[in-house]
Amino acid sequence: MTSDSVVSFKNVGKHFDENWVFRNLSLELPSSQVVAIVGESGSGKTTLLQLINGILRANEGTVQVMGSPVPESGIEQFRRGIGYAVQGGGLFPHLNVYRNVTLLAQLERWEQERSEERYAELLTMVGLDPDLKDRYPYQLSGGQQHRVSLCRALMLQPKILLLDEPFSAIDPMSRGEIHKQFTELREKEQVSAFLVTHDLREAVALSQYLVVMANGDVVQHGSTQDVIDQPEKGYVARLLETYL
Amino acid sequence: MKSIWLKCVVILFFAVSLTCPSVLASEGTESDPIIVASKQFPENYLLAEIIAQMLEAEGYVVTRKFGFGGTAVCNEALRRDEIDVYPEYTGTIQAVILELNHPLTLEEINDRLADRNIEGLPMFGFNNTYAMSVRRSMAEELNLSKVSQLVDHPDLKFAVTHEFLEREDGWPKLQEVYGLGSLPEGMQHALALRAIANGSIDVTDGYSTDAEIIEYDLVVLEDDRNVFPIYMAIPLIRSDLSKPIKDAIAGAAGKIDEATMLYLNGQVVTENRSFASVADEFLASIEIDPRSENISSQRGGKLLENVVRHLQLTGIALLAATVIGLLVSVAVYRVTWLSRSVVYVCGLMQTIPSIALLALMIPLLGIGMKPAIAALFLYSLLPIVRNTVISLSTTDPLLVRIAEAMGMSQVERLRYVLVPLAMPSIFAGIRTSAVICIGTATLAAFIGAGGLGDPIVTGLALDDTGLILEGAIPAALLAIVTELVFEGLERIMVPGHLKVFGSGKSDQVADTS
Repeated sequence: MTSDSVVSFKNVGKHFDENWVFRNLSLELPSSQVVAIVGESGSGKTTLLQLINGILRANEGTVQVMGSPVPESGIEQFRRGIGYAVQGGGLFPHLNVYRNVTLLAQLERWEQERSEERYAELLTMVGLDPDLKDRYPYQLSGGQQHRVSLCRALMLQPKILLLDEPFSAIDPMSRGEIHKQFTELREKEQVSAFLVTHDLREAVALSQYLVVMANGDVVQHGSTQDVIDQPEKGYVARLLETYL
Repeated sequence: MKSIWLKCVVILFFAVSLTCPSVLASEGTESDPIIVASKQFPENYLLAEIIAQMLEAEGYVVTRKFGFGGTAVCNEALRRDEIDVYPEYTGTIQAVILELNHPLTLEEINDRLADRNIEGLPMFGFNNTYAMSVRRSMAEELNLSKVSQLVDHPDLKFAVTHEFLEREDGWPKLQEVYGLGSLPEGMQHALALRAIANGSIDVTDGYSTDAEIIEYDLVVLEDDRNVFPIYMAIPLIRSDLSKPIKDAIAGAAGKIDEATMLYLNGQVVTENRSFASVADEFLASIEIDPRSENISSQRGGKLLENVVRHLQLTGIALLAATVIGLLVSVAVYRVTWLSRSVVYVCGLMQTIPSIALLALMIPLLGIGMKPAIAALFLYSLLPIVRNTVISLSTTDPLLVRIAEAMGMSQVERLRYVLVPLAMPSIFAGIRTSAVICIGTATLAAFIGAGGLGDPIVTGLALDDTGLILEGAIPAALLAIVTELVFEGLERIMVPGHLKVFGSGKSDQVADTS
């Protein structure tokens, strides 16, 4: 495990209208790991995630990604280096599996052969048959949609992967399998993953680093094992007790 | 994508510029025919046809543009040199064109029109004004011949058109001058004629040269206290026409009195004869030999030409509305107040009555295809803009966010996500516009744009159902064919996930690149 941070928040504040989600938030998140951000709804975890790829902009402080602040111009190119997958898959309903996964490669003008190879590689890694290429999202099961969504996020071999509750809509039976595939995939791709989830068990199963948020505050952060072993405050201890 | 828009604009430009009138050559020749126009009622058609044939008798080449939608259209067209002559009435010139409320002589009219390059030629000889008419049998029985005698028969039942009832120079003045009694009923003209024929009413209004006077065997009562304005028919021309042309046009001056006009109108309206043959018969009676080859020409009978023109009008308008509607929608859909305003403005266009919109276009674009296309374009915008704006702005926000987070630019998001997803709705809008366009384009005939409206307008003027159907049926068929074509197009253009489950080559279809 490396200790150099891939994402850092310095005195970051973010508000919507009059309401501050958080202020003076400072956090260094390590690279080449799965960082899980847990907390109840409204705790600010999704906001934190969207500050990383500039979907949201900090009102105060700076967010640095791989050593430089989230850019103002050329944000498209910046975002193409960051994979993004969300709850429900969010596949484009009008594009088939192949086009969904390879859309960014097409925009990047990859050679068709390269796209096809990468596509087949990704689908195989998540345990899908590449022959699904002509299917439309509505013709896939929920689990298949999530796997395709993951492939889409990884198509351009990003250094960072943002996951917003990506597995929460999957039935518990298949969740174990998809977790296993995700772990293998992440290690093979050597991507720093940031996983937002409200499911502490999922966070513990997948992550090496844990950020616990409550009411716009980072209550505790550290290696997952440390947090489990030494929950700092009453809230974290209660949370662990309730879920684990 | 830019080059496609560019191409569309260039095509549009050429299509529009093709319709521009060509440069002047010697007047009344093949390259610069004399353009004879008429308003959209039988008497005006007939007088215009008489003028046209008199010109042809002198060897001039004539183009007929009959059935313009009213005084404003004809006058504006004349002023803009888009037509050379049309039959007008002195009362109309005074009230509508010069906006004066006292009667004028022809000399006074010409003095006032001189600076507009418009001139009235000597009168045909009849006065087509308001007329109170009664059944012949009743007139004979009661010995009625003048309006002033009506006051002696207070039990007679009156019914007049709503317009006559309201117009200052209509019923109010009549009642005041002749001391007539109670308010008459308002009744639609055609119904009033039937009512007077079967005796349920006794007196109605109309025009002194209406063919119905003969058809229903009515007698026009003399306006012995000169209440009604005088509407002497004259040829109204561009004053820079050459002297020989003016002489030819004035060939029937003083030769058509009320009785003659009544007879000629009756031949067209009641006997269903063509304008050409009635005009020919009249000219023969005043010893002018029309030597015109198209005497035999039927009413209408230019189906292919009309269909082609109709398709040109709707096609160009629809193409422009699609291109501009989509561009505007894409430009504004993200700003709620702006997109709302745009949709409201487009909606406003729809509320302007077609005829009014066409008339509004004349000062800007003259007559013919250009103003018609512009009006159709404005009508077509709403369905396209509304559907596009709504479907773009209601795209699943999750998909919009993902596209943004994936690093797609504004243009890429539109091209690969928003527009394809909105396609069914956009298509529905274009389809609605197409059908509206085909229907509304029939009205383009009022401003001389031709198309399937031509036979309809003439047919309406003549109450000739056959002629109306000659325009209406092809227009209806066109609408149906358009629906079918769009259904086919939709099948090709709409994203694959919306197609019937399992339809084969959906991959190629969905590929928008």
